[in-house]
Amino acid sequence: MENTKPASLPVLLKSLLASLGQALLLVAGITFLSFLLTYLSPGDPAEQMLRKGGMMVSEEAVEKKREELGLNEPMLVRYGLWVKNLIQGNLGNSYKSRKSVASELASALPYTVSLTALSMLFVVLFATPVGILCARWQNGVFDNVWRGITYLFSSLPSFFISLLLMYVFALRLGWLPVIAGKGWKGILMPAMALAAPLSAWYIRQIRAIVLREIEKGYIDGLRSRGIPERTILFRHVLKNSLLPLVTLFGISVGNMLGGTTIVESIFSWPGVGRLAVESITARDYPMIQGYVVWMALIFLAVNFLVDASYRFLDPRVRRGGA
Amino acid sequence: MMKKKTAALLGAAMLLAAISGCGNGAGSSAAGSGGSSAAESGAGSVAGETAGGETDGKKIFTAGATTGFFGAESLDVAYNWDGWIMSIYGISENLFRLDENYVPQPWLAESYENVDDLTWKFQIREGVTFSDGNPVTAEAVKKCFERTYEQNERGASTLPIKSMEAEGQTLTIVTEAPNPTILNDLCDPLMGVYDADGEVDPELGVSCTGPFIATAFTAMTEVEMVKNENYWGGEPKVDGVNLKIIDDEEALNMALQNGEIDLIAQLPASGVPVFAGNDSVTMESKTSTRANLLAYNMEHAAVQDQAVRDAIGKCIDRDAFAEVVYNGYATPSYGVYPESLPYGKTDGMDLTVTGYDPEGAAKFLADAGYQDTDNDGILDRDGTELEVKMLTYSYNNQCIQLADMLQAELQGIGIGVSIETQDVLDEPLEKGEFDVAILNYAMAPTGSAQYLVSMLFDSSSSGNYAHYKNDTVDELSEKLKTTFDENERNKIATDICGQVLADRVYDFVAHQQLICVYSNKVTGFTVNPSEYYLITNEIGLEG
Repeated sequence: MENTKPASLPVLLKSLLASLGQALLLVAGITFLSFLLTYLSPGDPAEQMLRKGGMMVSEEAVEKKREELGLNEPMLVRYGLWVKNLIQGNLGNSYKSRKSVASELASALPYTVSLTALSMLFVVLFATPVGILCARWQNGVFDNVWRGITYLFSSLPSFFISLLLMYVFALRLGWLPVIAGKGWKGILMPAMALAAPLSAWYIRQIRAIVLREIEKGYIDGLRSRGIPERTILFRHVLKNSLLPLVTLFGISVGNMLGGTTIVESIFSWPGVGRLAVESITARDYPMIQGYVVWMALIFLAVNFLVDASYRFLDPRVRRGGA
Repeated sequence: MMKKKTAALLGAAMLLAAISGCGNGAGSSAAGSGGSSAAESGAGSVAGETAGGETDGKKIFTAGATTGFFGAESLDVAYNWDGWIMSIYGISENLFRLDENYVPQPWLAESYENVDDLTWKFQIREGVTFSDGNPVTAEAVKKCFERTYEQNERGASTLPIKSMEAEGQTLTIVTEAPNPTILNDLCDPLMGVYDADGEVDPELGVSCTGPFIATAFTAMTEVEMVKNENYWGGEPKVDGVNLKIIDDEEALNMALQNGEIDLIAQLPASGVPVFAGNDSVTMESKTSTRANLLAYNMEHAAVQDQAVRDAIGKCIDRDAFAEVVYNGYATPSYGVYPESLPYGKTDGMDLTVTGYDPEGAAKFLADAGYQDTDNDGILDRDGTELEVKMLTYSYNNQCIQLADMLQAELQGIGIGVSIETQDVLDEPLEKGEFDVAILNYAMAPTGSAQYLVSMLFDSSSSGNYAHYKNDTVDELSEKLKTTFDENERNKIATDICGQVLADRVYDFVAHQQLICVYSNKVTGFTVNPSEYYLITNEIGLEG
């Protein structure tokens, strides 16, 4: 009987503190590793900044820039300084733009967050019913047609889907602009380009999860009581399939919030993915570190939210069991 | 019921976040920029709509290019290379400007006087104002240069100045050493003129004198500008200009085809077939001083033998490279500089490589004693296999294609080739981790031969990764630095080229053309071979 009681507050607090400790260790480990990797990788930020497009500059100018950026300090000293600033809430300034890393990330985030939100909305609204119906009519015409479509979109690279969408919706139909720009129309194509392959994958996953659920005994029980099939599928089966779906959803959101470089680049959408690639190309160490911290925080937050949602969705977890 | 409501609310919140987030993000640049209301209503509203039209009765010209051509981090002439981009944008101007033949012509300076070897007097044009309304005086130019030199590491090496004096509109510059290329150096966009006394806006940067004034700027993404009503060179023919960075070449092409932009600046050669035969656009090009070249590492045994370098040079099918890889928008080269420059001709020079000749190349190697003694398909001499390591950029398709072409050609005559690509070449070049480096350099960006001579051919230069040393070239390089007579300078530069071509430490393969493609609605646009200029007050839109 004990394991059916809700967990006590000290237990929860202890678990929260343990999670926090693990999170801090994780962030420290990840940031050190990325610092080490950028340090070991070839390329010098001072030279990258000064040598533009096949133009040459004197060695003296490069050395002066190196001194200014503090690149002559040993790697561990630089990392220590970076950690000290991070503890004070300062991610430093971008080598490239001279602006604060936090403000650079903050200006790119609305683009990435909005793109993630809309893409995931498309995915949920589209993939859930299609996945469930594929399971419902397993191996029927509907299922077979969608199997083909999902295989196709899972195999197509995102740049190809993006260009295909552009060709159809911008060039042929003239409904949407090629350059994302500022209007609401601009976000539709990049969101569709992201949602298409993801929806294909989700349809397959939802179909498999729902098929497993349909085979369970309680479904026969519901059917024998004359509950309509639609209610069984969209209320009971969907509800009980939510747990694995939420985990998948969490991973997808985490990945997308890290930026989607190719789609952002094709649609000229200035999100964090594009920012990250530009920073890596320029060997903009503070910006790369800022991005790494952002990614670590996203995944910690997403994991936390997914865990929390288990407590909300599954009474067994809530009661300290399972 | 509660769960349903929560889910519905969550869904609505996500949708709201999607749409409002999008608006906030995009709008932040305009909001933070403090741009004028005219620009916000005019330029802002055309984003995502068809370009080249009238918006609220205003003519807005829109152009697109990749980050390499349009990407600025700030609108501060003194920061990094942003002055170059601001010159392209039509925001900043210099005392002198390069004409189509790369000859400096007076721009904000009206005239000049070369008082002695070290002293130059420049008469600054009367009646020119910065966009903040302050007049452009000699004192303003002096303060501007002083700030640039303080802020940018390249300043001191671009034009070494000992002192400056300002009186009215007369600016006197005393150089540290005799500098016959001072007019060329003053064309470098780093020497762009801006109001150093004025406040530097965190978004919109410094006030300049060009035909357009920025009203909204998002780094590495886009800039929106309105015409400078008080432009000294004549009223601009459009009310505003929007410039957008579109890094994906296909998207860039489609944006022009879809009418969202009016012009593509520096069209990648791969985009040429897309617009060939399209009657609604015009494609124009000019040979630039940018070239693809091979640099041989003279400290490596594999290429120290001139016979090997000659053989490699003869295996480069320059015509095919220009025709296929650049779609005909490059000029094959057997000299150093483009022939359009006064020191670019090869007439009268005794050139070893004058065409594609793999049979001749094989004969060179056989005469030099290379044989395939172990029948492995690779030539050898004195027990050493003839293999070379080629190094090039991982992001430059043309250089990679040249490396691939050469690999096949050289293996055909028995030279083993391995190719290594890296996104940053400085370190492997400095460490000498190559036998042959395939590079892409701007060779005379300000029209002066001195630039390349000092960087590549002078044995003391930090950019001389080939470790080229020729005492005559070093002597001529020193002479070039102090010779003021233009004809004499051209002769010295030509003599240096003769020596370099005879020594065959470099192979200059092709000179790239700067291609622009634009809608037929566009008027008054001309391609300048220099990459410093694009937007001018002459650009207009029909209709």
